Amino acid sequence: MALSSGAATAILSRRRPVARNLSGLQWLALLAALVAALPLSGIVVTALSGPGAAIPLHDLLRYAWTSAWLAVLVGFITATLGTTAAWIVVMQRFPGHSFFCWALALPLAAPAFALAYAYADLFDPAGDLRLWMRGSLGFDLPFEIRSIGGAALVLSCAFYPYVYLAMRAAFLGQSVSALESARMLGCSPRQTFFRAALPLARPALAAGVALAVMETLADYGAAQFLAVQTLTTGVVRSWSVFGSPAGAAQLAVPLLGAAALLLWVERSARRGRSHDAAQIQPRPLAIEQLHGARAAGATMFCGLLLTLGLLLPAGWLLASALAHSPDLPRLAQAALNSLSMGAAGALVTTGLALALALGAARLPLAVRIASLGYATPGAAIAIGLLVPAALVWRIVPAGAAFWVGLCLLVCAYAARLMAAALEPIDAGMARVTPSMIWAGRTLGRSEMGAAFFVQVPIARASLLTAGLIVFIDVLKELPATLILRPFNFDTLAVIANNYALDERLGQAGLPSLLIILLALPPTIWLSRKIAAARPGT
Amino acid sequence: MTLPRSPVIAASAVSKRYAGAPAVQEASLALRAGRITCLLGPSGCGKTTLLRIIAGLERADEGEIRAENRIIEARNVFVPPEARRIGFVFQDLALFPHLSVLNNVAFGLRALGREERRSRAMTLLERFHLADRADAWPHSLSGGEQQRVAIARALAPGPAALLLDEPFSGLDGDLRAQVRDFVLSGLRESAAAVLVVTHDPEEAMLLGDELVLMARGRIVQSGTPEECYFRPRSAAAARLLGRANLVPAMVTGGVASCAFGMFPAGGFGNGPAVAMLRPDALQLEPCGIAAEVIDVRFGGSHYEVRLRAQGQEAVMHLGKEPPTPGEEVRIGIEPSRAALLPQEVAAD
Repeated sequence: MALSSGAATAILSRRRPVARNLSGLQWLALLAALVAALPLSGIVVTALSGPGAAIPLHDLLRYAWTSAWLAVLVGFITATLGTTAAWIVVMQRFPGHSFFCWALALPLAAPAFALAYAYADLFDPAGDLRLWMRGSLGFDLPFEIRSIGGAALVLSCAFYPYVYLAMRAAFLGQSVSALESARMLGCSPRQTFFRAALPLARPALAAGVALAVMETLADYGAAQFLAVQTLTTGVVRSWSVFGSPAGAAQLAVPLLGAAALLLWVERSARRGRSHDAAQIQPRPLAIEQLHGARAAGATMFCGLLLTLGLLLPAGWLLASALAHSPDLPRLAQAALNSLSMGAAGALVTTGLALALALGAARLPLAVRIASLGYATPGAAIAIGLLVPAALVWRIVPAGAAFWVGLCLLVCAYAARLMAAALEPIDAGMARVTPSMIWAGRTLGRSEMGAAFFVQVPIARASLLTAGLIVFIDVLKELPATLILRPFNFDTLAVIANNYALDERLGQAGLPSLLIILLALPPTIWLSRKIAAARPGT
Repeated sequence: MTLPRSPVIAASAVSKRYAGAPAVQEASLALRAGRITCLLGPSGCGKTTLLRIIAGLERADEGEIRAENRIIEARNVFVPPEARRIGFVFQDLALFPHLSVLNNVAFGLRALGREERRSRAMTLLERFHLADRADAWPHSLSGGEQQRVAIARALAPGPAALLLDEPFSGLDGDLRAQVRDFVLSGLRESAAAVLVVTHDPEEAMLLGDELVLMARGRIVQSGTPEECYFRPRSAAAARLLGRANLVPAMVTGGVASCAFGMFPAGGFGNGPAVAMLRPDALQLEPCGIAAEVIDVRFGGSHYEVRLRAQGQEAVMHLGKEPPTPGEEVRIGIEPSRAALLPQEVAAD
């Protein structure tokens, strides 16, 4: 019965909607897609408009090589850490299990540059730790934090939660019978993991790693501070130091290409995942209760991840911040700016994502454009917006410049984060069957009316989720804000970056900490919500 | 004898194709106020598509639909579903999970004031014996209750016509019959013209004042349940309403004769034809035709007896005292349950 009604729904949803022209909802979706498409096309236009090669080819190749190498390292490390953590948390019970379930996602509250500041300071060759080690222990770490390897470690600590969350969902939803079949066919528990569970979860692994790599390519603050010259740092530098938007855009084009590739990987992985989600057995997984050394090991592993991703860097930043007297008025203004931009970005982005969710059924390209925006680094998005910005600047009166600048910045956030907001909204809308919308229509509502009185109220919880995700990401955002912000408009991320570039790390600590403090409550709320959800609900 | 009122909904020659494959072909039907029409056909015959076209959830490629003498669908006319005054009950019911039972029913009443909405919705809930569940959430109701809420909700705005798509398919056995009787009386109280889509022949005949039979996108017959059951116009129509033995027959001088007996041929001219014998048209008759019993099965309310006579096979229903396989019985035909079909439509 369930099967046949599901099939009927699938058939209904495939039927074409009534209106043959674009409806009001579809125009709104088109507008949302336009916001996402504007900076993407801006990148290409700017890159082509400049002098033949504003950036020497060998520089571009060097940056690209560094970016690629960093992406591979981070991909490998996050895959290992995230998968191990997810497997332990899903399949085993140990002290602290229910805490780590959600707490392992908390490093998402910390911007990668905050981790970079803390670890660079902690492992500085002239820092207290290394001095003490050389003095008391008589040896030094064979390790330079300001290197590709160091940056990869720092970014992996920041981004492993993307893999952890994807793999946790996959392991929770995995087929019990597949695991049992493997055991019956002679696999040990270890072999069962490597030969059945892991291959089954490959789509989720690809999707999670793709997200971590997207973030790696998008990172500016950490790489810049650790003196690793990637394409993204190159984009910001060629704009801010050399004043060359064309050069910046030429560096952004390969990033756009990489984004498209990662997006393709993530999307095709997702298709695979939804495919076997249909075959889930509703039987509980065989959970193993750990004792003794193994239990302690599991707790320590999870604790170490959380410490490296959040507690240690936040603690170190706190310690170094306490040693300096802060510029309180400047901090307060920046915190207010960050909160306002976070709120404005969340409202606008969620609104546009809602428009996409409601109206894009016949405009699949609109959703793809929004996804490409998500995969594209913020620095590239900002450079892409410079061309349309120049057109706008020409027509607005000087007095309005400040507000127009803020609007552009919100546009950049929306273009970058619309797809991130779209995902939970789409999941919420999945509760609305096509016939519920049709029922609204036959009960006298227009298409727009059915959208707002049926679809939106049913999916309203997901709007909050979407808004919070955008809010957290805007708080942590650095490069786009750096490029597009109006003169003298500082967010917490911007002043942290300014202090850090002046090597005033103690001062940079406090704004970074404030970002973590502001982002932590919504992150806790979101990760607890994800941890409580069962697969398929 | 009441005056023939003009139909509330009149569809004429409606056609629809999906990706080139015809779903509905030149379908015409009329729905009258206060009458229940059942649209019966096998899965995938296009009946749901026809229903959705009438409701405005789907556009027709050809044809015209009038509602209360106003054109609502034609080549250049399309009245959107919200302006058609047609209620729809979906197969999956589509109750709004975010609204209470009362607010589900009141959803379509936004033209009214707050108090009036509430009282109108309560009136409907009372009619469907749901008043005590007014503040419940849809997911906490039983299947039968959900069913009734869906119908009350569709009736609330006072539609001129109500369309129900397989309304009882989610319910089983006894409950299904109960809900059906219950809904029938609720529907009778509203003056709406009602169209019920179903693939269950028994349900269609019990529920419908009129039947419309559909097969492969075409309407093959319409009329009262008795007409359709006893006087099918084709083999396809005959089979839709239940088991039918189709046996070659010869008409001579107003009498049809076949392997299992003879019966009056009505207006049929002399020549070959096909006899349509329902299983209960065959009866034991001491001086009837001899037939061999091939198989006997027990079916609850009757025994199903498979017979062979003159190389033809047929199924007979017997109430009691079944013969044993291999036995020879003598049988005849009850004329009121037999019909003749022209040879060319018997092949459908």
